[in-house]
Amino acid sequence: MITAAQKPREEIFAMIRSYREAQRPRDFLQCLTVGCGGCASICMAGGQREILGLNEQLTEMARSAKVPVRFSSVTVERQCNPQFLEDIEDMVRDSDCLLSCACGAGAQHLGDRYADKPVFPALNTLFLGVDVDTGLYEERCRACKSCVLGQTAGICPLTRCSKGVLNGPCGGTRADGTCEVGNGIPCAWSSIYERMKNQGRLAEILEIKPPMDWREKGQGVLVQAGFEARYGRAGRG
Amino acid sequence: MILQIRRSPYNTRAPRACTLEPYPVRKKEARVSALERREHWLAKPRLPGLVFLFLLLGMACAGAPQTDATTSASRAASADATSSATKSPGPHRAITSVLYDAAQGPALRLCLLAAGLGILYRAWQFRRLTRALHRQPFARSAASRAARVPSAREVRRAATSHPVMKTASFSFHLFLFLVPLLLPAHNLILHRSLHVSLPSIPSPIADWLTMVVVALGAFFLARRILVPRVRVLSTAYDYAVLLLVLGPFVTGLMAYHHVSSSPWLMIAHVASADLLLLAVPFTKLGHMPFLIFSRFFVSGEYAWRQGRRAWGGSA
Amino acid sequence: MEAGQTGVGRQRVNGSTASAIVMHRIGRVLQRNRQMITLSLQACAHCALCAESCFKYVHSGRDPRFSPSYKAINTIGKIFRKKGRLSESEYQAVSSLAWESCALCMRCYCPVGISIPSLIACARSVCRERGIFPR
Repeated sequence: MITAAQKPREEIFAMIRSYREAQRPRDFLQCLTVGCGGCASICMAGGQREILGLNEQLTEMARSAKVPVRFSSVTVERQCNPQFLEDIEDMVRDSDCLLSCACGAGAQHLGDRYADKPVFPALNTLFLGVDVDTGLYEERCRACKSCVLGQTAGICPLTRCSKGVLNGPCGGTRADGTCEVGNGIPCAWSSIYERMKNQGRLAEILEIKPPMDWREKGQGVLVQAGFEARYGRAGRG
Repeated sequence: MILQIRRSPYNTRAPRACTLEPYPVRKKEARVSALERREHWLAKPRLPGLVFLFLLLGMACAGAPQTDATTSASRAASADATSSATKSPGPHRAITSVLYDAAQGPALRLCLLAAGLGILYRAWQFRRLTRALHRQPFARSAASRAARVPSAREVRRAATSHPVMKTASFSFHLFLFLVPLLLPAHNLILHRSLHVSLPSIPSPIADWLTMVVVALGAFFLARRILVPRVRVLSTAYDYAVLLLVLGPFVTGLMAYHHVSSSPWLMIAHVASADLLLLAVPFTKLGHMPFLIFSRFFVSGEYAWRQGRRAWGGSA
Repeated sequence: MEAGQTGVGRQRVNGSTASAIVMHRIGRVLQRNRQMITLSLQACAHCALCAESCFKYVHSGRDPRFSPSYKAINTIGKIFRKKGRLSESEYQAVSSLAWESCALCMRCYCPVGISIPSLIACARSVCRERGIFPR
């Protein structure tokens, strides 16, 4: 699930304030805060509850800075799916700018759909993570497009190793099993070793994995299996 | 050989190292203070179930049949019993006073016992449905450290419930428990049987609070009938339980104000209180112990403290 | 389950055919979650305080059929009471409640502490066993 965190309130307010000062369509600026009921809600960054609190605080900041901005809110099921963005068309028409509380994908999608209104992101998208506990989320995946979890006993070396090395520890593991980088980060390759040993697959750790192919750095497109007839194949050129 | 969890020798301020093994982790290592937690005044461990049982046991002491009448209610009851005796001597008098003594004595004790056992059963069920959480320390990267931490006020501010409903519910439940415990009439009975009593509030105030309880109950009834999102959920069961809860309070009010001289009023009062006690663990009134258990023990967004358990136990 | 399969026991359940294996699997799902479902549905005070915390309820113009307690009671409550033996149209209604009315964003606020998403997730599992999936 995509994990995101809210930007500092001051940063959000500065974006809206500079837009207001640049353009004055009427005597106040109507800003619509759009929440997301998907990943942003689950990681408690951009759900209905959060955008209500955000609007309260932004209204307070606007009042004290004497910037005439009004905030309204709506939460859609997901901002990454076009059908859910159709419901709010009338609200967007009455607003001057949009504040998107979804991940980067959702914020861009909102901007694609309603291209004549500026879309300001309220969240910093952090990573693909798991819910360890309520309010605690840990990164597990970096979407590198070539998953090696099968060879590393389910621990992603790209994400959980500070250097992202693919073939064994770098030699900087400290005596207690933490990474030499510090902060108590466990050495991923120590843990991979332990787990492979527990699973009886220690011989496989000696197989060398080729380096990651970072050539395809452009925008990723996926045509899922079975839909090639509908959309053609995805590929370069 | 699993990596030992040891304090890092290089940086004493860093959180302890951990393996990437999933839980279960040995219990004493799970108590790590490196985790962020919302400090809450309820964060100290409490035993709300035992507190609840203690309250019930306190009311159990009212179970002894009284010998001479000094409270207004019991005076009224015995006066009514004797007056009805002069009106219709013989079997009628025996029945009402026998019923009254039974309702106040053995029946009350039985219902309290059943209620206590029922709550313990619910607690056991609840424990079976949850599993202990074993938390591991985690390393914070620079990016997540820079993320803005919401203030405590913001965290608590939520669309949880309407302020009117919140106040009504809180005061209803507060007086629901306080009034029977602090009523002078009940405390006199308690004193007679166990020679201890809780402090009492003056009778006029108790009278007023009972009226508040009944008024709030009427508010809940109106809400159940008029508000659409509650009406769509309501069944006859909900209305019946609400009337059951209000029963002791209404009959108590009527007895205090001597509305009727019939001895059946006091019998109705004690019998409805018995039924209410019996109903607590076995009907939707069990939402009260469930609330205490889940808010104290289950980790979640609205938990009152960090929470040591999570949903998902052995079936 | 295709009609042409052999060796699979069938039984008519409320006018619709569902193989015995499917009903057995549904029974296992319900049995595994039996305590959680009964305790949650019994503890539900029908107070509807969860409604305001559901963004779908708010977004639909406060339609009471989107309140989380309504969704839970009318999906898993119905399934559990009838032990999984619902008709095809009832299963369609349950699945539309479980998938279209609920995003499983896990933010519902129950003052009592009932885990409503667990109940909806259980209802979804039962519908999946039955062969009904979100469109």
